[in-house]
Amino acid sequence: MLRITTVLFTLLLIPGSGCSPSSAVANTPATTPTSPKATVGEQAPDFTLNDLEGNAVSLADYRGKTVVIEWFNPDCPFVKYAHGPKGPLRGLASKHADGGVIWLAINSGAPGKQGAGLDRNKKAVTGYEMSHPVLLDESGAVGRSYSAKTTPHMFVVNGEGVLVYAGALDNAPLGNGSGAYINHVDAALSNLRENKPVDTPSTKPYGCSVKYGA
Amino acid sequence: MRRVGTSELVFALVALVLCVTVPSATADPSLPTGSQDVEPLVTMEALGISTARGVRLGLSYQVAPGWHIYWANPGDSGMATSAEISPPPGWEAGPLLFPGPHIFTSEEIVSYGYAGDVVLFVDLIPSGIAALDDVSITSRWLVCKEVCEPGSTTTTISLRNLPETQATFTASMSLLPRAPQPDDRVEVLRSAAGFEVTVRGARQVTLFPTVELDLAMSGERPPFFREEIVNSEATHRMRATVSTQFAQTELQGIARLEGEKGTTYLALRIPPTPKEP
Repeated sequence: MLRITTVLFTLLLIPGSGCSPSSAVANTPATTPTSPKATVGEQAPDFTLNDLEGNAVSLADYRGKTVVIEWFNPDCPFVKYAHGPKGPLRGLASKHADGGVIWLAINSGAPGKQGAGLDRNKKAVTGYEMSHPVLLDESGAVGRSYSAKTTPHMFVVNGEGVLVYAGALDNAPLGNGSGAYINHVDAALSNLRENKPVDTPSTKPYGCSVKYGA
Repeated sequence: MRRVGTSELVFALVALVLCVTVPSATADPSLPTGSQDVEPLVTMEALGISTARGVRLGLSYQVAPGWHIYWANPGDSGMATSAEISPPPGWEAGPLLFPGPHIFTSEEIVSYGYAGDVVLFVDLIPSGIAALDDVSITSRWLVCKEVCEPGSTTTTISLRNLPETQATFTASMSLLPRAPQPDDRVEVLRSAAGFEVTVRGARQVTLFPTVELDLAMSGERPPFFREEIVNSEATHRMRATVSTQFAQTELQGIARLEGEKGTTYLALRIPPTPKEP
């Protein structure tokens, strides 16, 4: 019986995949010239951040294209659901990439906070089958310039560099909503494709708080 | 060495299956969770009392120390606690009634919710031949500390033999916001640009905006009220601009007044912008 008990304890002590905090620290971001505050209807603040391979990515590089910015924390339950097998973000970036839309995820978690760190985010990109880059903003400067509050908190920037949508991903947190399902980002992108103003330019975001540092 | 009996082997395998497959009592099994706590972070039980109009259900939540769940407007982050009520035939369920919330801050994130014990209410009103059967209640919540865990539970309560009063219920109901009375000395003014709320005589005043009010005065951050001394009296005043898309919308919020008479939660109604004659 002792041997069986030992086996049971051993089984129970096996850590769950993805549950332990990442020990790796992301490489230093490039530059983050982000003094202005993001306001819907105005020019979106530019930024330059490193992706998980260390490449500098700037919003300004994508002038002329529609850009979706998704605030990201791979261990937030809302992000887990949204990027999960049946989640509303699974495959959404790929779908819109065909129409020339650029999709960037930004993790503004400070080192040591939930979901932060290079290794954890690399694993998440694989695990969530993400086709778009995750940019690390460990200082939180870019997140603060966009007033990013939650993960996910979604922003859409049009080809002129104007912020045209800020808010929630959809009206069904964790898949639970009342009334007809609305994916606000999908709807905004649809408006832009048709050269129309975005019908609903701002909604209240939901999700985990962005894990900023002090 | 002693041989292991069949019953011991079966016991061990059952124990293994239970330990591995039974999640936290509050975890939504459809969702991935970061940790599986032995003690649930939130429990909810349903209580009920008979009222003159029908039945008032109380959803009594107990939140683990250090954690909190959310008000109807969770604030900068989080998710509103919700409940789906399935009454028996002949009853209609009203909206979920939230008591006055508290503020939780983490860095620059401001949230509204509840720690410890809280009771949310739902009124059931007869709409026909009201059957005294079971009511099914499914509640969903997000419970957070530094990290968050979603949870849900489904429970039932029988409408037969409900008591007419319950002491804990009565105390909790006193935390529900009520309409301002003249004694509260609250004044609400709406203008073309925004609105102004003045509260006289209270020691401290806190505003909890609804989701719509939050959106309408986007950019405003707590504390919304500023204290002034007017005629030797503490006067709390807030002024906010409102985006034009909400000009013709009645906006709502809850004001918490703390004073000599204790704490009072008032339901503020901010009328639409007056139309030009």
